[in-house]
Amino acid sequence: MRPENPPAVATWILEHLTFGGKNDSLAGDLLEEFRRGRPAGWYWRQVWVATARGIIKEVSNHWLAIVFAALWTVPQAAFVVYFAVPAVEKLLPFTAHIEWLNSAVCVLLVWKGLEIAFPWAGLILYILLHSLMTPSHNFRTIVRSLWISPLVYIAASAGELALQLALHNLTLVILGAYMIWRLPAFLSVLIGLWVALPGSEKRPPRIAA
Amino acid sequence: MVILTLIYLGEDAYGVPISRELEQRLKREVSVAGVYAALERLEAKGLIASSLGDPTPERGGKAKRYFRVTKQGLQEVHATRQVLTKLWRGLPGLKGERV
Repeated sequence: MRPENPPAVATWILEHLTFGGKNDSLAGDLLEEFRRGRPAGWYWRQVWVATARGIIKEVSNHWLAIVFAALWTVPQAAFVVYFAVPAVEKLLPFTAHIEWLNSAVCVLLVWKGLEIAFPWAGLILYILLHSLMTPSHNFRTIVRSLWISPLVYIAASAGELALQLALHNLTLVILGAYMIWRLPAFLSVLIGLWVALPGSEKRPPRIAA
Repeated sequence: MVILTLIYLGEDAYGVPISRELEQRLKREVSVAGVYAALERLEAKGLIASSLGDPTPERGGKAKRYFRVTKQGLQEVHATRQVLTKLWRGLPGLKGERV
């Protein structure tokens, strides 16, 4: 017997992983067609095409933010070596006698805080430059982006650490560390910008049935 | 082609009938998301306009998005038709050719 509803995973992908704010009508159309007898394979194909189109659209809408995020993360290593490390070294004499400040957790927090400061600075700089060119901004989305960005950095850093631990080969570890070290900062800036500056899509007006 | 389909369908032009009509005419599977992408491009140009209907249980509570051709869209269709007709008449190679 044919199921009444399409594959749940495909529907979830359509509703959660497809970019763009106007997917309700598309999701309804696909459900209507499925219930009229279209096969599950057709439904999956439609979902993949919708997802791919959504990604292409999102990339073309935010290409400047992607380029900025990629470029901004390039000098991050220099920032850590020439700014973060000397800053921590200068602080050490003042904190040497305070035991809790020298705990591993506290040192890690300070270190991560300094690392996060770099993508955060990039995010703020881009928003400021963007606001000079486009005056209309949503203050709430900007505030949201400022706390989402560090969370993304922490999550991506944890993933990066797990991946490095999983890579036992030394060459792969060094190569992987170089390649993916910039990834948390890149994702942090990009997702922050994506939250702060969403696409300017208009919703169509609602009419009575 | 999408605008002509909208004119053909009249008031019932939403994603499903538009895609079905295009599939029948083109004789191949059409991506509904692709149709929406084309419709959104036309809407951005002001050639068509859209409005949302009420959500229905048969569609999982999702509203239909109806499309209609604007005055500017109709003018564009007529202008394109005139240009195509002129070009077609002026093609010398087609005169007397067997198909």
